[in-house]
Amino acid sequence: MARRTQRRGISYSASPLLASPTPVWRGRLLLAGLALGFAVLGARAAYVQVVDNAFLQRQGENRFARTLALPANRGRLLDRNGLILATSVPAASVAVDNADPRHPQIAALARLLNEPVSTLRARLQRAGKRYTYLKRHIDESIGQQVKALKIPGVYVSREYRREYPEGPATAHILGFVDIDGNGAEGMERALDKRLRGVPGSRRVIRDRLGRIVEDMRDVVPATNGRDVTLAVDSRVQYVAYDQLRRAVQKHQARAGSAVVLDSRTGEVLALANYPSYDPEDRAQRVGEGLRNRALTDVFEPGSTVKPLMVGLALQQGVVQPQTVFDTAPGRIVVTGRALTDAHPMGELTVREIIQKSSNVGMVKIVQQLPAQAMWRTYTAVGLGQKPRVPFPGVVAGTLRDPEGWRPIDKAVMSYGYGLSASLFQLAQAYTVFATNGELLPVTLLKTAGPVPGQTVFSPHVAQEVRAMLQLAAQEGGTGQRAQTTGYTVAGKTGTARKVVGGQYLSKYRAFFVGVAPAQSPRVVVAVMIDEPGDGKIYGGQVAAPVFSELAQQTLRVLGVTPDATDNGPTTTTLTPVATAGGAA
Amino acid sequence: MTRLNLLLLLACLFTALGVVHVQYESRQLYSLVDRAQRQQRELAMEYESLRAQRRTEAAASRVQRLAEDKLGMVAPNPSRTVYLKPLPQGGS
Repeated sequence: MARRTQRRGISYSASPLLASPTPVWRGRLLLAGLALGFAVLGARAAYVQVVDNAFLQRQGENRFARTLALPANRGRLLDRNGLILATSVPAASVAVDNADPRHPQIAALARLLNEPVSTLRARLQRAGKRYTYLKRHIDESIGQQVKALKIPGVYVSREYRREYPEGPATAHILGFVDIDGNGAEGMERALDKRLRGVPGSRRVIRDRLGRIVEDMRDVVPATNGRDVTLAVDSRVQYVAYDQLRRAVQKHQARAGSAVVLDSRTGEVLALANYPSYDPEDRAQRVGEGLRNRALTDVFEPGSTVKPLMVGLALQQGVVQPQTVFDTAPGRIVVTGRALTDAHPMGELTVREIIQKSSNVGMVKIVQQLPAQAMWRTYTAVGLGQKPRVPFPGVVAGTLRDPEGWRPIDKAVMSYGYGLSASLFQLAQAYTVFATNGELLPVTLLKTAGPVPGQTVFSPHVAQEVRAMLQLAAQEGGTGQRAQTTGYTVAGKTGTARKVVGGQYLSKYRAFFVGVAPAQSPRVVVAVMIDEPGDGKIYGGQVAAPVFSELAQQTLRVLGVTPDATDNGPTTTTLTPVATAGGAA
Repeated sequence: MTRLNLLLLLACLFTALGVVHVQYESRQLYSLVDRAQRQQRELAMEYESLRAQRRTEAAASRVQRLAEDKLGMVAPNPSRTVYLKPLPQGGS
């Protein structure tokens, strides 16, 4: 019975009355259908997981893998003794994205950010759903406190801030970085490539607590920027800045600049300007104070170039130091124009022409020189050319081609009019008197040691002119206030009327360029005071005292033994102290 | 035969669990390493901050201000400095 039933169909009931005959194929069809369904699922599963698995892999990764940027540290700027001049320190930045201005903790946030609550609320309102920085580069500790407030939509991120420990004193030489850490001015900009690092990255897996549990591929390490050691000595730099500040305030001047060069290596030991600015305060980084006057302001160098022309005359053999010129009556007429001395001085030797700074004497000396030779000497000491320092905004000054010089041009050029130069160029030019007649290449980076220069004068001429400059900086010279305790100095004063639009104003620049110690120079010091306003206008009155103080302090800092004999220092021979080793 | 298969199945299960465990442990350790490295970076940064701070405290401008205003000191000059000359060599 059962067998027969089976043959006819499947019986679902024990009772034959209820038995409905179901054909066998229906069951088989269903089975086949189910099997096919599973096969399709299986095939699809195999396809997405084995054959074309990129999509799911990516989706999976997106849920737990993160790419982290590894920030690179910006290199530090160091002074010649390894002291930090600029370094990057971590700082916090606070940003908002869709934060609620009515959140109860907003008042606390306002207090931390040092801002009135109403202003902050208004800013949040304005920011709305845009990601906006509230404040950047605040102290890390304040950042932590902001984080602790846990206001939804307020984020604290880690950034780096540049610190300049010497502040305004080094501001012009170092410059500063913009808010994103790119060099914007000064050495920060000039050395940006070297200082800036290359950020790295790593791809990691994070667990649900945000801990990193695995690196997915090789880490690309960040390459930190390199530290750069500058030639600057921060002590000399500070002295320079401080002396300028005092002088500018004392003489109610508009500004002042100073350059100190090492006369053996051509390194810039100090380059300061006043007024300056605080490089860490973004609000101060505007306007006049930013200008690195020592490198960007040109003026007629006046009497400071006289030694160069006398050097040329000696070199060419047209005069001797004792050659006498008659400068009476203190004026000379060149093609209809009268050129005068400050006061008539009568007969002067070449030495005295430098010492007393006689314009008439200079005109008479260069009348024996070809214009071409004068131009060559000026060019050889770097006038009319950009100093080769990697500094933004360096200027070349002007020095016209000698073909166009009229006799009057040649005459005034002998005492520094009709051409222009920056204080930095003058300082470099004076390296010819500090060395044996060689112009040293100047550098803002620390060098290994003495460097060879470009020969301009013979050693004998350089020494002779230096002796004249020493006279000029002594009793009876124009620059006697450049004298300093302990050290002999040699240098030249200069006073230039300012020119605006081709018109001379009754405003002056007073400057002094010199070398010290005079016997075997270690430094070249150049000082310029712009528009002294207290009635004193001459370089000898205004700039020479600054030179005196600056040269003395610099030499003391450098550990140079005083060489002056009169009212000089006490020298004691070091008495050996008995030591256990008995080395003495 | 069946017993051997069972044994192998068990062994397979154990090693599979072992792999899971080792992976777990390695991730734990890795996260510790990572945390330690992060701490190292933090400390290095703090060190740099402190160095910068120390440098700022010792900056010439601040030293001068304190020396002049607070301690009433003046900068030395060669006239009031005693210079010591080392003994000439071979003077012993």
